[in-house]
Amino acid sequence: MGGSFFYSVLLHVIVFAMLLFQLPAWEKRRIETVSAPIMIDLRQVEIAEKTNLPPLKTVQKPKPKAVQAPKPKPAPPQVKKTPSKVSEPKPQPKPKDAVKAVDTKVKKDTAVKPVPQSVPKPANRPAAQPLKAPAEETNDLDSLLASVEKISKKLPEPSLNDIVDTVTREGITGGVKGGVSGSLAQKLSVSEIDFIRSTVQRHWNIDPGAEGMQDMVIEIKVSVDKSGHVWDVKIVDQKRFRSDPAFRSAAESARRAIYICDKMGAESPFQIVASKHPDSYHHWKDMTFMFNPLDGNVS
Amino acid sequence: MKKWIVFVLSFLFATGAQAELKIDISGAQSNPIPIAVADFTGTSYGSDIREVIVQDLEQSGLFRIIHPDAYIQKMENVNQTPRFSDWQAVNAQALLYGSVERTDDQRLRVSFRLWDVFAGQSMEAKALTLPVQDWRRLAHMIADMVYSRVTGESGYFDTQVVYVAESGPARKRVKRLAVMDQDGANHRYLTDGKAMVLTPRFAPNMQKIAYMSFKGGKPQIYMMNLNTGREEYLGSFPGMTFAPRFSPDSKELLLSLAQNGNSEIYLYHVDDGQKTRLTNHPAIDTSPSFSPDGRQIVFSSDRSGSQQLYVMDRDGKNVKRISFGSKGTYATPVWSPRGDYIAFTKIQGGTFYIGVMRPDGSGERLITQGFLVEGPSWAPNGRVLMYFKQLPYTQDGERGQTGLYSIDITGYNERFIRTPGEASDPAWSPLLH
Repeated sequence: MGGSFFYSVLLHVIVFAMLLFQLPAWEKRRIETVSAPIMIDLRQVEIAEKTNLPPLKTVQKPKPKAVQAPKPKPAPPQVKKTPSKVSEPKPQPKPKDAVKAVDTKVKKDTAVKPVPQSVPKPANRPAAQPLKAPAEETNDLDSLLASVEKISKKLPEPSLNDIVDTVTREGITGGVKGGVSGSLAQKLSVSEIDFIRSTVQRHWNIDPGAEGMQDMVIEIKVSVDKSGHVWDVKIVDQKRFRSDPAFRSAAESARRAIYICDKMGAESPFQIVASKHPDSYHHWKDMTFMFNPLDGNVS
Repeated sequence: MKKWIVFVLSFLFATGAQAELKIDISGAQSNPIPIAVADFTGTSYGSDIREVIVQDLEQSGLFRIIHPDAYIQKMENVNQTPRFSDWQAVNAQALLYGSVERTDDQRLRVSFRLWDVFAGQSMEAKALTLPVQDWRRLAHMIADMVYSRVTGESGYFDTQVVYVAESGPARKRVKRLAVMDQDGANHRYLTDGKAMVLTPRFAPNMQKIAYMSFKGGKPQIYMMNLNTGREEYLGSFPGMTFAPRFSPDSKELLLSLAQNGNSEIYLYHVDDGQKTRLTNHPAIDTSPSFSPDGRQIVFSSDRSGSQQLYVMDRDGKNVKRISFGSKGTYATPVWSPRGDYIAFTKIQGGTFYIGVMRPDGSGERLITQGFLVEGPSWAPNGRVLMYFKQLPYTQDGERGQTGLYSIDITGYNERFIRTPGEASDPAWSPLLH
């Protein structure tokens, strides 16, 4: 009876917390579609995932106050370390070394992740776990479940505040350092999306004098494996594809652009994204491209 | 209970995980498509056919032929499957190859395959058969199929052009009817040059050519039967007839009749010779051209004080002016076969232009200009225009050369069409196949 009540309360709290901080699906729909025609070469500009994130401090500050008040010792080294890493990527830009800068930053990021895991954590302090490696597709769930189990085992009489605090940090941040939302942290930045866009666009070749180009929008779904290789390209409007030769031509050209990008090897925008975001595969494994021939410049 | 929680949570997170990345691609490139045209194996006609296909595709401006020296794989026969990585390595987006065989009844059978190299998919695979002497047509037909399959529009390579071949000094100019393939091959003269001819036009069914001739001293419209080669007199008109143009069904002929200083447009019924007057205005109405559906007619008239373009119903009613360009006059309008544009000659500030506008007069675009450019004629796909251009007089006062040119509707890819001598007044035939 008591167990059921506990689980019921726990579930309600989780759902309430998720609604409060927005469901991942809602959030993604709102943010993902980016159509601003910004042209930035990812390889030359230092950008990427951290542009979406507030500093780590905002998440970790509450820890000592809410949970760690009795034992403040171990926390400070970790808390200090991570923000300094996050703020590192802001040095004065050196144009020629831009690519190197991105690389080193990635290395630093990946190097940081294991550290918190290896540090012994004080008992009854799940708050120290947010620095877990960012999850893959199912890691959000694993992280959340692990937290729930720990809460149930290690906190026999948890207060509501403790549960909310723990679940919020675990579930909403998804264990990604420095972020208020795990899904946000795992998303591609505007510049990365724009890099994919500009590369594909560069290889999309159409005949501007063809009839009917003015009212043609081609939707193509692209599936990519974890290494960034395209394994499926689907032209969505098959009915028009079969009946309208001009549409078929433009759609085939668009599909070709995807394949050409795929065959660019290390220069492939998909492979670059895969190498930069191996832990957020779920976010970029399926992409929908909307090709509009005349909405911009035909150059 | 735990399972239940897992189920609910996995549902919630799965919803988030399924959200797709959405990327808008606005605008595209318009570069020629790199295509590899590999060998057409079999008989010796193979290399000739390949060469004509290459010329056609290059001439269109929409394809870039990758040089054969770059090819890694040699295609031995039409049934061989390409190694796509080899063709991707030379950046070929499409691959064409085929084989030619000669049948017992002196015909050529050409089989070909067209591949999308990067998608690794077949785009076209066909076999065509024609008499041996029509091997160029076979090549043009294959080029049309490639063009059509890749661009989504119908081709225009298997077509002919009738034009006025000019020779001799300005004061004693000889003007003859001549016909040739659109690439200048198979050229032949239709008239002997004793009478000056102007404005030849193909009938859409390719059985006749209408033109104006000064035979007998009086300028009148004649028709030449392409099957018999005989010249047919259109019938006696009270004045001078000129500017003929067939209806889409080839059963009627629009023409202008000049009488007592006035010019009106008539509809001539080819079968029974009946005439219907369509305009009745003291101004000069001329250069009529049917819309592709045959319901409307565009013509030029100076009824507003300067020569402008007008559209009327096929019965002559609902006349509307469509050209309003400032300080310019418009002439020789021709309705596009696909109906979306009207091509015209514009004279403004002493310069001649070839331009296009929508049938309602909107979207006017001037696509080429020159000392004298005139007489646009549409390719059957409504995508390319042919016209004639006269170069300026030389410093010695010699008349500039006159020749035929083609240009893409976008204003790019202007090409000179080679003819044995000087040429003017081109008219493009419909597709022959």
